[in-house]
Amino acid sequence: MFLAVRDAIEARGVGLSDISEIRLRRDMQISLSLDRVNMRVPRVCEASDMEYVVSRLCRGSVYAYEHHLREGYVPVGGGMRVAVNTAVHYSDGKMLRERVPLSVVFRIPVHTEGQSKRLAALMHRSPGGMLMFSPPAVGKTTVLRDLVVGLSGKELSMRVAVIDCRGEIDDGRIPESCLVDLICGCERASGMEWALRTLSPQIIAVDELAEEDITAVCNAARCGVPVVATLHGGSFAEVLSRKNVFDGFASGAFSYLVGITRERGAPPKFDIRRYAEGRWTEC
Amino acid sequence: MLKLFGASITVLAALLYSKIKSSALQRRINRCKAVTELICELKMQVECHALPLWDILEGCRSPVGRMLADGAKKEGFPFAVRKHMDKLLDGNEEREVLLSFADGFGRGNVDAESERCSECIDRLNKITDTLEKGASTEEKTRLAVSLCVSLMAVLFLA
Repeated sequence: MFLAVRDAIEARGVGLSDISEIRLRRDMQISLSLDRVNMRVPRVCEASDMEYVVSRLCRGSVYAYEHHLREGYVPVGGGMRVAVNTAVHYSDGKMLRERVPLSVVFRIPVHTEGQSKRLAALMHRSPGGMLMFSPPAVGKTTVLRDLVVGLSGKELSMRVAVIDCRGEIDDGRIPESCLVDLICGCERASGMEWALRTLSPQIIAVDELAEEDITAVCNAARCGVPVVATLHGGSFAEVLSRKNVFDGFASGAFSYLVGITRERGAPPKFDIRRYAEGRWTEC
Repeated sequence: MLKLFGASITVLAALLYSKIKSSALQRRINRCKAVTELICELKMQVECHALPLWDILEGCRSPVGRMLADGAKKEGFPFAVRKHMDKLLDGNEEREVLLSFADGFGRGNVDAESERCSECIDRLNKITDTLEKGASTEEKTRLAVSLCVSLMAVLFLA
Protein backbone atom coordinates (compact mmCIF):
# COMPACT_ATOMS: atom_id res chain seq x y z
CA MET A 1 0.00 0.00 0.00
CA PHE A 2 2.76 2.45 0.95
CA LEU A 3 4.71 1.59 -2.18
CA ALA A 4 1.63 2.39 -4.28
CA VAL A 5 1.37 5.80 -2.61
CA ARG A 6 5.05 6.50 -3.18
CA ASP A 7 4.84 5.41 -6.82
CA ALA A 8 1.81 7.64 -7.39
CA ILE A 9 3.66 10.63 -5.92
CA GLU A 10 6.70 9.97 -8.09
CA ALA A 11 4.59 9.44 -11.21
CA ARG A 12 3.08 12.89 -10.73
CA GLY A 13 6.50 14.44 -10.47
CA VAL A 14 5.78 16.04 -7.11
CA GLY A 15 7.66 15.77 -3.86
CA LEU A 16 6.44 14.53 -0.50
CA SER A 17 6.57 18.08 0.79
CA ASP A 18 3.88 19.07 -1.74
CA ILE A 19 1.38 16.61 -0.28
CA SER A 20 -1.00 18.17 2.22
CA GLU A 21 -3.20 15.14 2.82
CA ILE A 22 -3.21 11.37 2.43
CA ARG A 23 -6.64 9.83 2.67
CA LEU A 24 -7.38 6.14 3.15
CA ARG A 25 -10.94 4.95 2.67
CA ARG A 26 -12.01 1.40 3.38
CA ASP A 27 -12.63 -0.58 0.19
CA MET A 28 -11.99 2.52 -1.93
CA GLN A 29 -9.03 4.03 -3.69
CA ILE A 30 -6.44 5.95 -1.72
CA SER A 31 -6.31 9.66 -2.51
CA LEU A 32 -3.70 12.35 -2.09
CA SER A 33 -4.24 16.08 -1.90
CA LEU A 34 -1.92 18.80 -3.06
CA ASP A 35 -3.64 21.81 -1.53
CA ARG A 36 -7.03 21.84 -3.27
CA VAL A 37 -6.08 19.35 -6.01
CA ASN A 38 -6.98 15.72 -5.33
CA MET A 39 -5.44 12.75 -7.06
CA ARG A 40 -6.21 9.05 -6.90
CA VAL A 41 -3.76 6.26 -6.20
CA PRO A 42 -4.56 3.06 -8.15
CA ARG A 43 -4.76 0.97 -5.03
CA VAL A 44 -7.84 0.05 -3.03
CA CYS A 45 -7.45 0.16 0.71
CA GLU A 46 -8.70 -3.02 2.33
CA ALA A 47 -9.99 -3.55 5.85
CA SER A 48 -6.74 -5.28 6.84
CA ASP A 49 -4.77 -2.23 5.63
CA MET A 50 -6.93 0.08 7.72
CA GLU A 51 -6.51 -2.10 10.80
CA TYR A 52 -2.78 -2.20 10.30
CA VAL A 53 -2.52 1.57 9.95
CA VAL A 54 -4.61 2.24 13.05
CA SER A 55 -2.62 -0.32 15.01
CA ARG A 56 0.62 1.42 14.04
CA LEU A 57 -0.81 4.84 14.85
CA CYS A 58 -1.84 3.58 18.27
CA ARG A 59 1.61 2.11 18.90
CA GLY A 60 0.20 -1.39 18.93
CA SER A 61 -2.51 -0.52 21.42
CA VAL A 62 -5.91 0.81 20.44
CA TYR A 63 -6.93 0.76 24.12
CA ALA A 64 -4.34 3.45 24.88
CA TYR A 65 -6.03 5.84 22.45
CA GLU A 66 -9.64 4.97 23.15
CA HIS A 67 -10.45 8.49 24.34
CA HIS A 68 -8.88 10.10 21.29
CA LEU A 69 -10.53 7.67 18.88
CA ARG A 70 -13.91 8.56 20.37
CA GLU A 71 -13.12 12.16 19.43
CA GLY A 72 -12.17 11.01 15.95
CA TYR A 73 -8.41 11.47 15.88
CA VAL A 74 -5.07 10.08 17.00
CA PRO A 75 -2.30 12.43 18.16
CA VAL A 76 1.02 11.56 16.55
CA GLY A 77 3.07 14.63 17.41
CA GLY A 78 5.08 16.85 15.11
CA GLY A 79 1.99 18.92 14.40
CA MET A 80 0.55 16.13 12.25
CA ARG A 81 -3.12 15.47 12.55
CA VAL A 82 -4.60 12.03 11.84
CA ALA A 83 -8.36 11.83 11.69
CA VAL A 84 -9.86 8.38 12.20
CA ASN A 85 -13.44 8.06 11.12
CA THR A 86 -15.19 5.00 12.52
CA ALA A 87 -18.77 3.85 12.41
CA VAL A 88 -20.37 3.84 15.84
CA HIS A 89 -23.48 2.33 17.32
CA TYR A 90 -25.11 2.65 20.68
CA SER A 91 -25.80 -0.15 23.10
CA ASP A 92 -27.30 0.40 26.57
CA GLY A 93 -26.57 4.09 26.24
CA LYS A 94 -22.87 3.49 25.56
CA MET A 95 -21.22 4.51 22.33
CA LEU A 96 -19.40 1.56 20.77
CA ARG A 97 -16.90 2.01 18.02
CA GLU A 98 -16.36 -0.44 15.17
CA ARG A 99 -12.86 -1.86 15.13
CA VAL A 100 -12.09 -1.17 11.49
CA PRO A 101 -12.32 2.52 10.57
CA LEU A 102 -14.11 3.80 7.49
CA SER A 103 -11.43 6.34 6.70
CA VAL A 104 -8.11 7.62 7.99
CA VAL A 105 -6.85 11.05 6.96
CA PHE A 106 -3.26 12.17 7.43
CA ARG A 107 -3.04 15.97 7.46
CA ILE A 108 0.54 16.90 6.80
CA PRO A 109 1.53 20.25 8.28
CA VAL A 110 3.36 22.87 6.30
CA HIS A 111 6.10 24.37 8.40
CA THR A 112 6.36 28.13 8.02
CA GLU A 113 8.44 30.75 9.71
CA GLY A 114 7.86 34.44 10.00
CA GLN A 115 4.74 34.59 7.84
CA SER A 116 2.63 35.95 10.68
CA LYS A 117 4.99 38.79 11.61
CA ARG A 118 2.44 41.37 10.55
CA LEU A 119 -0.17 39.86 12.85
CA ALA A 120 2.27 39.58 15.74
CA ALA A 121 3.32 43.22 15.35
CA LEU A 122 -0.33 44.28 15.31
CA MET A 123 -1.10 42.30 18.48
CA HIS A 124 1.91 43.77 20.22
CA ARG A 125 1.22 47.34 19.16
CA SER A 126 -2.53 47.38 19.80
CA PRO A 127 -3.38 44.36 21.93
CA GLY A 128 -6.80 42.86 21.45
CA GLY A 129 -8.42 39.48 20.86
CA MET A 130 -7.85 38.13 17.37
CA LEU A 131 -10.05 35.64 15.56
CA MET A 132 -8.63 34.05 12.41
CA PHE A 133 -10.86 32.11 10.07
CA SER A 134 -10.66 30.15 6.83
CA PRO A 135 -12.21 27.06 5.26
CA PRO A 136 -10.58 23.75 6.25
CA ALA A 137 -7.08 22.83 5.01
CA VAL A 138 -5.93 26.39 4.34
CA GLY A 139 -3.44 26.46 7.20
CA LYS A 140 -5.06 28.15 10.19
CA THR A 141 -3.15 26.02 12.70
CA THR A 142 0.11 26.69 10.87
CA VAL A 143 -0.53 30.43 11.01
CA LEU A 144 -1.50 30.22 14.67
CA ARG A 145 1.68 28.32 15.50
CA ASP A 146 3.78 30.85 13.62
CA LEU A 147 1.98 33.68 15.39
CA VAL A 148 2.62 32.09 18.79
CA VAL A 149 6.32 31.84 17.97
CA GLY A 150 6.35 35.45 16.77
CA LEU A 151 4.64 36.77 19.91
CA SER A 152 6.66 34.71 22.39
CA GLY A 153 10.01 34.90 20.59
CA LYS A 154 13.03 37.03 21.40
CA GLU A 155 11.72 40.10 19.55
CA LEU A 156 8.36 40.59 21.30
CA SER A 157 8.88 38.33 24.35
CA MET A 158 5.25 37.98 25.39
CA ARG A 159 4.08 35.20 27.71
CA VAL A 160 1.76 33.05 25.62
CA ALA A 161 -0.37 30.22 27.00
CA VAL A 162 -1.28 27.73 24.27
CA ILE A 163 -4.36 25.56 24.73
CA ASP A 164 -3.31 22.58 22.60
CA CYS A 165 -6.24 20.16 22.87
CA ARG A 166 -5.07 17.73 20.25
CA GLY A 167 -1.33 18.22 20.30
CA GLU A 168 -1.40 19.89 16.89
CA ILE A 169 -0.07 23.34 17.67
CA ASP A 170 3.16 22.14 19.22
CA ASP A 171 4.96 20.44 16.34
CA GLY A 172 8.18 20.04 18.29
CA ARG A 173 9.75 22.98 16.46
CA ILE A 174 8.76 25.84 18.77
CA PRO A 175 12.15 27.33 19.69
CA GLU A 176 13.41 26.94 23.23
CA SER A 177 13.68 30.70 23.59
CA CYS A 178 9.90 31.16 23.18
CA LEU A 179 7.97 32.11 26.30
CA VAL A 180 5.28 29.50 25.71
CA ASP A 181 3.26 27.54 28.25
CA LEU A 182 1.48 24.53 26.81
CA ILE A 183 -1.75 23.16 28.19
CA CYS A 184 -2.41 19.85 26.46
CA GLY A 185 -5.29 17.47 26.24
CA CYS A 186 -8.02 19.38 28.06
CA GLU A 187 -11.12 21.15 26.78
CA ARG A 188 -10.63 24.66 25.43
CA ALA A 189 -12.80 26.49 27.95
CA SER A 190 -11.21 24.63 30.90
CA GLY A 191 -7.76 25.22 29.44
CA MET A 192 -8.36 28.96 29.16
CA GLU A 193 -9.63 29.14 32.71
CA TRP A 194 -6.70 27.10 33.96
CA ALA A 195 -4.24 29.34 32.10
CA LEU A 196 -5.79 32.49 33.60
CA ARG A 197 -5.67 31.09 37.12
CA THR A 198 -2.22 29.60 37.12
CA LEU A 199 -0.02 30.88 34.30
CA SER A 200 -0.55 34.66 34.24
CA PRO A 201 -0.39 34.77 30.44
CA GLN A 202 -0.24 37.95 28.42
CA ILE A 203 -1.93 36.20 25.50
CA ILE A 204 -3.86 32.93 25.21
CA ALA A 205 -3.79 31.00 21.93
CA VAL A 206 -6.52 28.48 21.04
CA ASP A 207 -7.10 26.47 17.90
CA GLU A 208 -10.46 25.61 16.32
CA LEU A 209 -12.61 27.58 18.68
CA ALA A 210 -16.15 26.34 19.07
CA GLU A 211 -18.93 28.86 19.49
CA GLU A 212 -19.61 27.67 23.02
CA ASP A 213 -16.01 28.54 23.95
CA ILE A 214 -16.54 32.24 23.28
CA THR A 215 -17.84 32.72 26.82
CA ALA A 216 -14.43 31.64 28.09
CA VAL A 217 -12.83 34.08 25.65
CA CYS A 218 -14.98 36.89 27.08
CA ASN A 219 -13.94 35.90 30.60
CA ALA A 220 -10.29 36.08 29.58
CA ALA A 221 -10.84 39.49 27.98
CA ARG A 222 -12.46 40.74 31.18
CA CYS A 223 -9.31 39.64 33.00
CA GLY A 224 -7.28 41.71 30.56
CA VAL A 225 -5.86 38.77 28.59
CA PRO A 226 -6.51 38.84 24.84
CA VAL A 227 -7.16 35.54 23.10
CA VAL A 228 -5.86 34.59 19.67
CA ALA A 229 -8.04 31.90 18.17
CA THR A 230 -8.88 30.16 14.90
CA LEU A 231 -12.28 29.23 13.59
CA HIS A 232 -13.68 27.45 10.54
CA GLY A 233 -15.41 29.94 8.32
CA GLY A 234 -15.92 30.83 4.68
CA SER A 235 -16.30 34.61 4.68
CA PHE A 236 -16.52 37.66 6.95
CA ALA A 237 -20.28 37.84 6.53
CA GLU A 238 -20.73 34.15 7.32
CA VAL A 239 -18.52 34.27 10.41
CA LEU A 240 -20.17 37.41 11.75
CA SER A 241 -23.62 35.97 11.18
CA ARG A 242 -22.95 33.61 14.08
CA LYS A 243 -24.44 35.18 17.17
CA ASN A 244 -21.74 34.14 19.62
CA VAL A 245 -19.00 35.44 17.36
CA PHE A 246 -20.79 38.74 16.84
CA ASP A 247 -21.33 39.06 20.60
CA GLY A 248 -17.63 38.33 21.11
CA PHE A 249 -16.77 41.40 19.04
CA ALA A 250 -19.53 43.52 20.45
CA SER A 251 -18.36 42.82 24.03
CA GLY A 252 -14.77 43.66 23.15
CA ALA A 253 -13.42 40.15 23.65
CA PHE A 254 -12.21 40.22 20.05
CA SER A 255 -10.82 43.26 18.27
CA TYR A 256 -9.45 41.73 15.06
CA LEU A 257 -11.08 39.44 12.53
CA VAL A 258 -8.61 37.95 10.08
CA GLY A 259 -9.56 36.06 6.95
CA ILE A 260 -6.80 33.68 5.78
CA THR A 261 -6.48 32.67 2.15
CA ARG A 262 -3.70 30.78 0.45
CA GLU A 263 -2.87 29.93 -3.15
CA ARG A 264 -1.07 26.70 -3.90
CA GLY A 265 2.62 26.95 -3.06
CA ALA A 266 2.31 30.55 -1.86
CA PRO A 267 2.42 32.00 1.67
CA PRO A 268 -0.90 32.83 3.33
CA LYS A 269 -2.60 36.18 2.76
CA PHE A 270 -4.35 38.01 5.57
CA ASP A 271 -7.40 40.21 5.26
CA ILE A 272 -7.43 42.01 8.61
CA ARG A 273 -10.35 43.99 9.91
CA ARG A 274 -10.53 45.77 13.22
CA TYR A 275 -13.68 46.33 15.27
CA ALA A 276 -13.66 49.38 17.53
CA GLU A 277 -16.41 51.67 18.78
CA GLY A 278 -19.04 49.85 16.77
CA ARG A 279 -17.21 50.19 13.45
CA TRP A 280 -15.16 47.92 11.23
CA THR A 281 -11.96 49.24 9.66
CA GLU A 282 -9.39 47.52 7.47
CA CYS A 283 -5.84 47.18 8.77
CA MET B 1 40.87 -51.85 36.00
CA LEU B 2 39.70 -51.21 32.48
CA LYS B 3 36.36 -52.84 33.25
CA LEU B 4 35.96 -50.62 36.30
CA PHE B 5 36.71 -47.57 34.19
CA GLY B 6 34.25 -48.67 31.54
CA ALA B 7 31.59 -49.35 34.13
CA SER B 8 32.12 -45.90 35.69
CA ILE B 9 31.81 -44.24 32.29
CA THR B 10 28.58 -46.10 31.57
CA VAL B 11 27.04 -45.08 34.90
CA LEU B 12 28.21 -41.49 34.48
CA ALA B 13 26.74 -41.38 30.99
CA ALA B 14 23.42 -42.54 32.37
CA LEU B 15 23.53 -39.90 35.11
CA LEU B 16 24.46 -37.21 32.57
CA TYR B 17 21.60 -38.20 30.30
CA SER B 18 19.20 -37.95 33.18
CA LYS B 19 20.58 -34.57 34.18
CA ILE B 20 20.32 -33.17 30.65
CA LYS B 21 16.72 -34.23 30.33
CA SER B 22 15.87 -32.69 33.69
CA SER B 23 17.61 -29.46 32.72
CA ALA B 24 15.65 -29.29 29.49
CA LEU B 25 12.40 -29.67 31.37
CA GLN B 26 13.44 -27.13 33.96
CA ARG B 27 14.37 -24.68 31.22
CA ARG B 28 10.94 -25.13 29.69
CA ILE B 29 9.34 -24.39 33.05
CA ASN B 30 11.53 -21.34 33.67
CA ARG B 31 10.82 -19.90 30.24
CA CYS B 32 7.12 -20.41 30.73
CA LYS B 33 7.34 -18.55 34.04
CA ALA B 34 9.29 -15.71 32.44
CA VAL B 35 6.66 -15.22 29.75
CA THR B 36 3.92 -15.38 32.39
CA GLU B 37 5.76 -12.63 34.28
CA LEU B 38 5.82 -10.51 31.13
CA ILE B 39 2.08 -10.94 30.58
CA CYS B 40 1.49 -10.00 34.23
CA GLU B 41 3.48 -6.83 33.73
CA LEU B 42 1.54 -6.05 30.54
CA LYS B 43 -1.71 -6.52 32.42
CA MET B 44 -0.66 -4.22 35.22
CA GLN B 45 0.49 -1.46 32.87
CA VAL B 46 -2.68 -1.69 30.80
CA GLU B 47 -4.95 -1.58 33.85
CA CYS B 48 -3.11 1.14 35.74
CA HIS B 49 -1.83 3.43 32.99
CA ALA B 50 -3.31 2.23 29.66
CA LEU B 51 0.20 2.58 28.26
CA PRO B 52 0.73 1.67 24.60
CA LEU B 53 2.36 -1.71 24.04
CA TRP B 54 5.54 -0.25 22.56
CA ASP B 55 6.13 1.86 25.63
CA ILE B 56 5.43 -1.03 27.98
CA LEU B 57 7.89 -3.33 26.22
CA GLU B 58 10.60 -0.67 26.06
CA GLY B 59 10.45 0.05 29.74
CA CYS B 60 9.87 -3.56 30.77
CA ARG B 61 11.49 -4.96 33.86
CA SER B 62 11.31 -8.37 32.24
CA PRO B 63 14.20 -9.08 29.80
CA VAL B 64 11.71 -11.01 27.66
CA GLY B 65 9.76 -7.81 27.11
CA ARG B 66 12.78 -5.77 26.21
CA MET B 67 13.76 -8.42 23.68
CA LEU B 68 10.38 -8.07 21.96
CA ALA B 69 10.33 -4.25 22.02
CA ASP B 70 12.29 -3.60 18.83
CA GLY B 71 10.44 -6.15 16.72
CA ALA B 72 7.07 -5.02 18.02
CA LYS B 73 7.79 -1.46 16.94
CA LYS B 74 9.06 -2.36 13.50
CA GLU B 75 6.77 -5.20 12.44
CA GLY B 76 4.17 -5.63 15.15
CA PHE B 77 3.84 -7.69 18.30
CA PRO B 78 2.74 -10.98 16.64
CA PHE B 79 5.72 -10.82 14.30
CA ALA B 80 8.14 -10.11 17.15
CA VAL B 81 6.80 -13.07 19.14
CA ARG B 82 7.11 -15.41 16.16
CA LYS B 83 10.63 -14.18 15.43
CA HIS B 84 11.86 -14.78 18.97
CA MET B 85 9.77 -17.85 19.77
CA ASP B 86 12.81 -20.13 20.02
CA LYS B 87 14.19 -17.96 22.80
CA LEU B 88 10.82 -17.46 24.46
CA LEU B 89 9.25 -20.87 24.93
CA ASP B 90 10.13 -24.49 24.35
CA GLY B 91 6.87 -26.43 24.38
CA ASN B 92 4.29 -26.38 21.59
CA GLU B 93 1.41 -26.01 23.99
CA GLU B 94 2.62 -22.80 25.56
CA ARG B 95 3.76 -21.47 22.19
CA GLU B 96 0.23 -21.78 20.90
CA VAL B 97 -1.10 -19.92 23.92
CA LEU B 98 1.39 -17.09 23.45
CA LEU B 99 0.77 -16.79 19.70
CA SER B 100 -2.96 -16.68 20.22
CA PHE B 101 -2.44 -13.92 22.81
CA ALA B 102 -0.08 -11.90 20.63
CA ASP B 103 -2.31 -12.08 17.55
CA GLY B 104 -5.21 -10.46 19.35
CA PHE B 105 -3.49 -8.10 21.78
CA GLY B 106 -4.06 -4.37 21.50
CA ARG B 107 -7.28 -4.29 19.51
CA GLY B 108 -9.82 -3.89 22.28
CA ASN B 109 -10.44 -1.50 25.14
CA VAL B 110 -8.73 -1.64 28.53
CA ASP B 111 -11.18 -4.14 30.03
CA ALA B 112 -10.95 -6.47 27.06
CA GLU B 113 -7.15 -6.40 27.08
CA SER B 114 -7.01 -7.01 30.82
CA GLU B 115 -9.25 -10.00 30.38
CA ARG B 116 -7.13 -11.28 27.52
CA CYS B 117 -4.03 -11.01 29.72
CA SER B 118 -5.75 -12.81 32.60
CA GLU B 119 -6.81 -15.66 30.34
CA CYS B 120 -3.30 -16.05 28.96
CA ILE B 121 -1.79 -15.98 32.46
CA ASP B 122 -4.23 -18.67 33.65
CA ARG B 123 -3.45 -20.94 30.73
CA LEU B 124 0.30 -20.54 31.12
CA ASN B 125 0.08 -21.13 34.86
CA LYS B 126 -1.84 -24.36 34.24
CA ILE B 127 0.83 -25.54 31.83
CA THR B 128 3.60 -24.62 34.28
CA ASP B 129 1.83 -26.42 37.15
CA THR B 130 1.40 -29.56 35.06
CA LEU B 131 5.04 -29.47 34.01
CA GLU B 132 6.28 -28.94 37.55
CA LYS B 133 4.17 -31.77 38.95
CA GLY B 134 5.43 -34.12 36.31
CA ALA B 135 8.99 -32.87 36.57
CA SER B 136 9.97 -34.29 39.95
CA THR B 137 8.33 -37.66 39.33
CA GLU B 138 9.82 -37.83 35.88
CA GLU B 139 13.26 -36.89 37.18
CA LYS B 140 13.27 -39.66 39.77
CA THR B 141 11.95 -42.19 37.29
CA ARG B 142 14.48 -41.22 34.68
CA LEU B 143 17.35 -41.35 37.16
CA ALA B 144 16.32 -44.77 38.41
CA VAL B 145 15.85 -46.16 34.92
CA SER B 146 19.14 -44.69 33.75
CA LEU B 147 21.02 -46.20 36.69
CA CYS B 148 19.37 -49.58 36.26
CA VAL B 149 20.10 -49.71 32.56
CA SER B 150 23.68 -48.65 33.10
CA LEU B 151 24.20 -51.22 35.86
CA MET B 152 22.66 -53.92 33.73
CA ALA B 153 24.94 -52.95 30.90
CA VAL B 154 27.91 -53.11 33.22
CA LEU B 155 26.91 -56.54 34.53
CA PHE B 156 26.21 -57.82 31.05
CA LEU B 157 29.45 -56.60 29.64
CA ALA B 158 31.39 -57.69 32.66
